[in-house]
Amino acid sequence: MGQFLGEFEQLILLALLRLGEDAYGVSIRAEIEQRTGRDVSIGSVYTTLERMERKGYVRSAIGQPTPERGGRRKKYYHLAAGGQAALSHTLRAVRSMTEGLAPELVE
Amino acid sequence: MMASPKRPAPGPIGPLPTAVLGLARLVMVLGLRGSDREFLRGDLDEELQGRLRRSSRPVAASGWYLRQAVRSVAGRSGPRALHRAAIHGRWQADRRGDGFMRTLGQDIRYSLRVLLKQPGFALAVITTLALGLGATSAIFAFVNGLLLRPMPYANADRLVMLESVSRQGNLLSVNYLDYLDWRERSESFASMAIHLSVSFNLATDREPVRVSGQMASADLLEVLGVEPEIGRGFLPEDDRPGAERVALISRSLWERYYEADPGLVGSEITLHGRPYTLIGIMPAGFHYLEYAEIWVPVRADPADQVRGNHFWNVVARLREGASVGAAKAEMRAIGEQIALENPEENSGQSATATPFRESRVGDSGFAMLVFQGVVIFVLLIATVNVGNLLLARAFARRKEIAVRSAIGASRGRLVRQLLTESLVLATFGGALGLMLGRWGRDAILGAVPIEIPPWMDFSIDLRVVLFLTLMTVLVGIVFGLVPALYASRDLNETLKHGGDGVGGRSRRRLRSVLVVAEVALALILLVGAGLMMRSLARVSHVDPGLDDEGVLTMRLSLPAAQYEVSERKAFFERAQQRLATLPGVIATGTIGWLPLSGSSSTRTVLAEGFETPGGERPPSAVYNLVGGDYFEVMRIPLLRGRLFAPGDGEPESRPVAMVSASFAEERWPGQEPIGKRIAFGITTADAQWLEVIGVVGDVRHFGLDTRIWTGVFVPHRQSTQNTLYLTLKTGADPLSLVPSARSVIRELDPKLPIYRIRSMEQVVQESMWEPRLYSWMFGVFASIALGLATVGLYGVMTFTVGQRTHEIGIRMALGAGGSDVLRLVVRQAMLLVGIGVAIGLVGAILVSGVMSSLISGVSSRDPLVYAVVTGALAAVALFATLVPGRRATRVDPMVALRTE
Repeated sequence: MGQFLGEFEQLILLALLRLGEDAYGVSIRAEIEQRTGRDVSIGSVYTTLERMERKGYVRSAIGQPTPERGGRRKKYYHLAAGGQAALSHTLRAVRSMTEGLAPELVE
Repeated sequence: MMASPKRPAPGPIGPLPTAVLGLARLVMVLGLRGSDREFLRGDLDEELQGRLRRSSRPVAASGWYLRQAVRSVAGRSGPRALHRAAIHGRWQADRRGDGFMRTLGQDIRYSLRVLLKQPGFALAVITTLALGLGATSAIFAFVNGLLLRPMPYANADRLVMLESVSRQGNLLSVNYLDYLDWRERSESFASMAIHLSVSFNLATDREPVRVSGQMASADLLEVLGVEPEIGRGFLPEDDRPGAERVALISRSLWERYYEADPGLVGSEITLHGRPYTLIGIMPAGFHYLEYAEIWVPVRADPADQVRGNHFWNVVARLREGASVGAAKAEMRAIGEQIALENPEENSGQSATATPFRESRVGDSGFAMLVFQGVVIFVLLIATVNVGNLLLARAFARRKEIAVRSAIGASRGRLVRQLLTESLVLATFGGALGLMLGRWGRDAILGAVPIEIPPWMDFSIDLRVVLFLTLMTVLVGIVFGLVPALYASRDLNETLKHGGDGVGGRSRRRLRSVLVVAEVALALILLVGAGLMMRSLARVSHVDPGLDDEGVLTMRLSLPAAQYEVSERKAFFERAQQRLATLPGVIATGTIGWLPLSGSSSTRTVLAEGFETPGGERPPSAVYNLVGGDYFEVMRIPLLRGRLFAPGDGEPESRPVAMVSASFAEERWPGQEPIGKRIAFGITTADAQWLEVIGVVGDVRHFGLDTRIWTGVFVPHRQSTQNTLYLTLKTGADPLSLVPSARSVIRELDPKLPIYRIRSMEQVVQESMWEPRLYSWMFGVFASIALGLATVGLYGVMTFTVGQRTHEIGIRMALGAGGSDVLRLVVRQAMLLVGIGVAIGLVGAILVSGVMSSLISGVSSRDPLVYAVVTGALAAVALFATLVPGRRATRVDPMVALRTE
């Protein structure tokens, strides 16, 4: 049995899936904000990502410095196999719990 | 951190957002490890750029940035992770002897996270410190600019100003012949130059301008150790009588009016309607003396000079090995020798040398040192307050600290951690204080109405920052060490007693001492502020002797080359006639030197029938030239005789004069002054006698806080003076007349610059700028001090009431009423306040003496000020006590007893 993910963890992992190669602090935050309307702090994104990296859900890689960042490097994150499994596991549980309920709940 | 390819050009986003961003970055630098910080800051900066592009509100964007930074640091590790780190990493690392720097970094990050978890506490401490440190840095910027920054002359500390000293010990300007004697006889100086502040009408392509300058002997530049940037300096032959006229100009003037044209050197410029050959451009920043932009040689013939009149300045460079003390002694001896040789003109006089900076800075340097003392007091109060807050917090954290000690942290290690916390707090206080300081400096500068000499640079330079850093560290250690030592003491006892612990009495005593100190310091500052304000009130109520309402003043200087003596008189009369026709103008007049404007002329005056004891030279009086209806414009009352009439001052008429009431009283006490005669000069030998035709009321020419000088008035037509003030009386706002008055003068002579245009009200107000500014500054600092002391007292009393809940509960259970309890609390507080006030009063009496040169018309021990201030402080203190006192009366005995 895999572990269930917290809500914020789900959002971040889904954002990683959507962003693919371009997932780092700013883009993850923007993706979540655009899709959910939630204003999350960059600090909490990093805290959660670091926790999930320790659990083996995500992997990180250091990118190149860019001028608009004042010459600072980016830290990219990718979904790892463990994260993929935990995410499917969690989403499956959500789906099976919502199955057959009134359609207005789903919409 | 790695080298950055290119920083994005930071757009102008205003001072507040810049400050907020700086604060946020400081939070990140202190709160995050290197690589974590790099990624986070990169993200934040990237998003900030986007936000700044999208929205036009930098304030909101920077606020977002700060919130993100704070949350990132504060949320970095939860309490549990913190604990784990404490157990596994930090406290053990110390025993293994890990590097100091590494543990320091850990301590700083740990401190910041702890502090950000209690933002209210951190904010209170940081604000308090920022007030103290901000005031300190604002004033230090002035102390630095006036007293510490190097002056723009080579080895400026070897420069001295030489002056004559009157019989009464006052410093006098220099007489030209005295200067020649000094030059010849003195040994202490490598070089010596004479100079005089003058203003020139400079003809430019655009409108004519009035430019400050110096008439100086050829060796001025050698004395100052400065050379022209382009062209040559003065040669001895330029300075001979009848030599071709040459001039040097400042770089700023060259850029302003001549587009920095290098071909200008060697060409002619027109000063006062006369051609001068421009021989050089001085380097940027050179404006000796103070504001000068043009320098011309004196070209004086000693044969034309007489002893007795003093209006020159002399600057000299000390010879190698000569000291200021030796120079002073030598000048004194030479001055006395000259007085013996010229008993008539120089009797009783001597001479002296003053270090250049001291002579230029004068009283404001001293005033700023006093204020530096004042703000150090404010800083001390802030420190005490913060110490108090930290003491309370240390008490609350004893259990946490005891646990850490139990798992292996040494006491030194604990103290270091706590001290790091206070230093982190102090750093933020210092950073915020630097911003406040810059703002405070600008506020003070904005209140100075006079032109500030260019060499006085009050920027926040490295020295100011270093001073502030030093103060910040000192303050951080002082307010951090005592609570840290206290909190790490008797930890076993703490554990045994479940965290409450012993030492309550010593802690309470310590906090009481702090409150007493605060009250005492605040009282001293309040006394200072009270004295300043009372002095200002005194000065503002002094009658200047004239009515400044509805009076417009302006200065005109007719070029001697273009206006013959008779034309000058005609010009000023024509100007007055035209101005009188302007709508709303009630009267017009001219005056040679406007009272309270800083310009004046004093002359030695002989009076018929008045003998000086022992044949000394007669006293001097303020000399002035009057034209038109000046006395009516200023509403200066005629006390006896008559005013000048149109016929007075004509060549064929009898020469006449008017005197002030105090002059008549001084020279002819109890006699009829009308018809008596006066003359200017020292001896009656070839005196030109003037008949006194009228007596007018006294005017305080030199300032409202100075004594009344006797005055003598001569009709303008009787003199050859070419520079006069025009004055207009109107029933309306005088400044509304400026455009029409200007065009009247333009019509008469389009090349004539009009300057110093002010309403007389402005002139009077500006003459009081120093007492006004100083009392304003004192008021602000004393208010901060009072506020901090009040908060401190409130904090301590709240804490004490909390501590005594149990005792109060018992008292109430035994029948004590609310008023008894209130009295108990208030009595305790007032005891502390009383001790503080007593110490403060003694301190104020000891310290306020230094202020006596800054105040006038009030003693530094003025009992009224001491009484009012003590009463006000006691009232505020009582108020601060009532809130916790009333809380104590609401203690429910049942609850209070049960919880124990």
